[in-house]
Amino acid sequence: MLNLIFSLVFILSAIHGDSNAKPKSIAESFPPGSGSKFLLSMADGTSANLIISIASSSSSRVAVEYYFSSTDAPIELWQQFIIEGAGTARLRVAEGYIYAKELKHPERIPKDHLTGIDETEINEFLFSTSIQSAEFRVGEDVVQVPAGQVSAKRFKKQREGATLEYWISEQASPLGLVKLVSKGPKPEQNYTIVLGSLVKNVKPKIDPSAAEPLSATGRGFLAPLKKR
Amino acid sequence: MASGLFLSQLLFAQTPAELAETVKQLKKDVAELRQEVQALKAQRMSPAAGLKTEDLNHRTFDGAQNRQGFGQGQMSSEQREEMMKKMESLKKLLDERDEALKSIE
Repeated sequence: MLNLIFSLVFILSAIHGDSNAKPKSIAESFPPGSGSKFLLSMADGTSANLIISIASSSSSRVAVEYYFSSTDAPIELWQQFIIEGAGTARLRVAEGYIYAKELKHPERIPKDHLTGIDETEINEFLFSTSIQSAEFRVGEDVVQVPAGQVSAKRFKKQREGATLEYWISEQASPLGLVKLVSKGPKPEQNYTIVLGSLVKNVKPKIDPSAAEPLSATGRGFLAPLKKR
Repeated sequence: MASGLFLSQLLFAQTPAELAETVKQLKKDVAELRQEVQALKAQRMSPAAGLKTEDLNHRTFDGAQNRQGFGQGQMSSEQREEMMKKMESLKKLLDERDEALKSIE
């Protein structure tokens, strides 16, 4: 399950694009404390809660915090990523942090773990432009999720042999994701994510200034990231 | 409207090619109508209805109040109080049941 969460880190935050809308500043688009609570169900019956919230935002960087809790095992995990270059064509994950109850302090994720995250991948999903979104748009549906009923744009794309179908709505800002269905030949590629609720005024768990170098225990929480 | 026109064309089509063209137009018409229905549905859902939103009141996402599915961690004082009330209520019910059983015996 944790491996899946790591692979989802940068595909969950699909931002809707509206070419007619007046461009918002980064701080306006990503108000600190706002985010979404998702319910994740695997094909094998296991499930988890995943909360993605904006820890902080400035004119050029956004800190995104992920909180994961399994409903099947006593696992809780927090991650925070600082993404630089927001609002430009070139994005990069500048810093990464991890925290779990088993760790005394938050710990820094080494650069070598961050470089495995492909920039194109981030561009596709996080802060995606209207042009990129339009390429994969296949329709518009009224979607019923635990958070409520919402009209959402439907997108479909292939990723590592799996078919991802996802629904994006401006009403689910700032992340936009309402529902995601992944189907593929590998067992871990079969899962569904639905919006449980929007969240606001979330206080970030991880304080980057208190972070320490990655310990052996902390490394155990890091799934190997793919190198390209 | 357009659909009526196409329907008459469908009824009086003379050749397979005419028929195919009319069917194609009808399909396009249906697709446009579907889009209109979706747009109307979207309009009907007012933003006021909105999506469910949880206000964390500047708390972090941890602790028993935010967990679902497993019971580790500390409970908040409100939850503890609520749990105590439920336990007292349950104990009272059990006592009443025991009394009732004794009276039957």
